[in-house]
Amino acid sequence: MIQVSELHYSTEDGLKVLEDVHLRVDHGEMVFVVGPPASGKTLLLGLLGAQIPPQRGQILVYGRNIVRLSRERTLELRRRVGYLPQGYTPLPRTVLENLVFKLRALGDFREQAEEKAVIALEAVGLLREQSTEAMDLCALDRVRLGLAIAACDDPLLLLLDDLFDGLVSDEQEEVCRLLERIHAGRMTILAATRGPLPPTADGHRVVTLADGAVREA
Amino acid sequence: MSTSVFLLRELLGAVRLRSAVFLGLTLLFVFVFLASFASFFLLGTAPAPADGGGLAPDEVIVRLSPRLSAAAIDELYLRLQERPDLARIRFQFAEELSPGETGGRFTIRASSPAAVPAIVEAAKGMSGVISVEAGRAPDPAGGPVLSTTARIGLLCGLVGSVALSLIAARRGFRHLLRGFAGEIRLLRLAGVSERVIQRPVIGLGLGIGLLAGVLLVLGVYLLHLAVGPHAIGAAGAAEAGRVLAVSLVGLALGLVVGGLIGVYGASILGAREFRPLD
Repeated sequence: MIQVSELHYSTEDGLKVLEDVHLRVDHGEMVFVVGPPASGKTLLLGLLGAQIPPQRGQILVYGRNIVRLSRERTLELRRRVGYLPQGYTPLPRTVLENLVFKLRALGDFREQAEEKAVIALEAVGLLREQSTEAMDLCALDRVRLGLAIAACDDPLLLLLDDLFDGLVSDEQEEVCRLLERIHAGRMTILAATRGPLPPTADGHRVVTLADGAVREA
Repeated sequence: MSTSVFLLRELLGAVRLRSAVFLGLTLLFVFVFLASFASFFLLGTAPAPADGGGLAPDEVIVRLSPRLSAAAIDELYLRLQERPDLARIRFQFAEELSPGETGGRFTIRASSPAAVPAIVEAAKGMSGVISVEAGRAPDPAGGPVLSTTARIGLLCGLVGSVALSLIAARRGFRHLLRGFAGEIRLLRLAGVSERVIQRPVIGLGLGIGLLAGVLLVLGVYLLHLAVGPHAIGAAGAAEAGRVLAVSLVGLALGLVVGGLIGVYGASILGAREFRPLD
């Protein structure tokens, strides 16, 4: 479960990006955060994923208060959060090796890493492309690969930034269906997008981020 | 395989031509630094005398047979003393100087070092003389070999090579890490600690220092083999003990310099381009 309260964030030059943000996301929920460019979506996800240190407010992610986490605990939390950054570019290696690199860097042995990587690629429908150079993938397959990398180590929370960027509407719908499959009610997902959302996203909770505040859509 | 070793292997796999050139230059400059350091100890000292070691250039030792009578010794003494090229002569029992040795010896001071060969020749021709030992004129190249200019040059070499190695390392690591930026961003996103991310970079610096140190050890050993026991101008390289000490200290120094270069390289990781959300 995620609980954000009284969250404020300003840039170095004093520009207020987030102002008194309150948000609650239950375990297993899939939430779309919709907002215009530079509305603070990346910042919000960065704060939730313990990638950006908070300035003011409270952020509770699965019982851990990010504001008070030690460096070691912050790293632990990052390991439990899958993060697909905005404008994701795969590593210049094969699809399988993209996943294996992350898993091995997190301490898995090669066999174990390959096993997890194959499962993750299967989940996103990219298993047949495992030997393909990741840089040769089309935009949709790159998103699939990004999702597989973010979700391959069985995270508690999946944070997806600007997920539909560069995708046509059909591909956006396909990505939504893919999210449904990955989600399956067991993983908490926050996906940020500029909107509008494809029809396949209907039925999921949508919040808007504008003028520094989060509102239920 | 530990995560650090895995990441070091991956980092080495990201080496491309430009980074290889600059890291190679770094290795070269570290080697030059170590070689300059070693030169102070291997080239800047006089050779240990092999024979006539304790003798002054105008000194001659004449060893006498223990069977000589006192009268025969007196006669030899007088014959030598008569020589105009002899400044002083002194008799000693050999046992006074070295217990267990028998016989006696004359310690002769020639009027000049140039007179020594004639005295030696004359002494060798006398009956009852076992051996003659003469001091040697100082080898002009055997004293403090390095001139002040050479020493200043070596010091400049030390400072210059360190500065150049840092410049080359900075460029080499920057090229290398730029080619590895995607991996670094992914590592940070995934929660890998900074220490683990920095370790392969420091390890690479250590590797460069170690390689330079090993090259120095090889170079010093080859020099030791090449110069022989009577080295002129590289006297320190002729002494096995000194060669070993300089090699070990050079190797350790290589590791220290390599480690510092690695830390310097790892400082590049703080740049904005390696942050995952920028």
